[in-house]
Amino acid sequence: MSVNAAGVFVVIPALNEAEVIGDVVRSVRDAWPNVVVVDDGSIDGTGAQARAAGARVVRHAINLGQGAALQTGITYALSRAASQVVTFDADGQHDPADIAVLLDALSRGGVDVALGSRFKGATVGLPWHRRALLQTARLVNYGFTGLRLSDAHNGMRALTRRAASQLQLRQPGMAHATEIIAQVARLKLAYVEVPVTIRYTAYSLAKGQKLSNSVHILLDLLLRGLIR
Amino acid sequence: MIFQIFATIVLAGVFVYAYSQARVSRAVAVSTMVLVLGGEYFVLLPAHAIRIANLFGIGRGADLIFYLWILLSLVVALSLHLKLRSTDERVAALVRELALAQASRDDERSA
Repeated sequence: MSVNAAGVFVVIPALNEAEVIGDVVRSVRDAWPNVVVVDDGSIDGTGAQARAAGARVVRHAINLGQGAALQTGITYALSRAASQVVTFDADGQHDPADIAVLLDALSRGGVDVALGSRFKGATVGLPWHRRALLQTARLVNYGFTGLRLSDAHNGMRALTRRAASQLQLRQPGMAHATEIIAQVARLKLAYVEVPVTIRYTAYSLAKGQKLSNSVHILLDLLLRGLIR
Repeated sequence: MIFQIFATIVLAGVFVYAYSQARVSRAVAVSTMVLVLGGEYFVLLPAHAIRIANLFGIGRGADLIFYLWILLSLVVALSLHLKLRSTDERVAALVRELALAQASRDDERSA
């Protein structure tokens, strides 16, 4: 592995994840010292838990949404001379071991963006309705971005500094997942899909996307995509 | 006649307010004043609404007003949406600046 860990910043957007964030931060920091938790206006002490676990914490005074939190984390990482930025979910469903796999794909593949894919990799405990929702999201993504990906809304990604500097996330909420892909397509950034494992738990399922949220995401995409 | 007087007073008030706000947004002020004049025209001469409606293949003047009202509502909703979106983006930028400034102070303190 040729990646210098000191240049890697793992950005974790978090909203009210005090129950799990400490363990998530510690598990990532075992291999990657620069963990940035963007506390998106939590009211349960998420930021304090993350800091106690060794993360750098950037706190939004009010809740803005996951897309805005990611952009804040990426901006912070770039200002600290990050050479690669990895995005990682706060709810504990990602496997920290996959970070190395994504970074390896970046450096070996000579690409700017490595996108985690649970459907090229593995899922543990994925309910059928969630699978159906994700497959629908894939189609929506394809419609908006023209990129045919195996996984549409995977929070695990690795970006080179070049790619991270060019992304400008304006979708504050969950529609950023499609926005990132749309910008990858528009900026003609070279990308690769990398198999990762997603482990669903009762906790992550309770925190995850609901069908009603998906309708909001679609509306966000339509309104912000068409009127720009 | 009572309604016509009432509507004229309300529309005149809107007209004056729109005129006074021309410095803030000329486009919004001018389009509002044009709409007010159009509204006043139909208030004073409701029979013309029927004639204009017939020109466009609409049977009743009331239907013409109704369709116009729906279209205008959509335009207003869209412009409010855009305004809200731009405000949201400004709020996000402000919150991000504050968060990053605080993070820099935290980093300096822990260094």
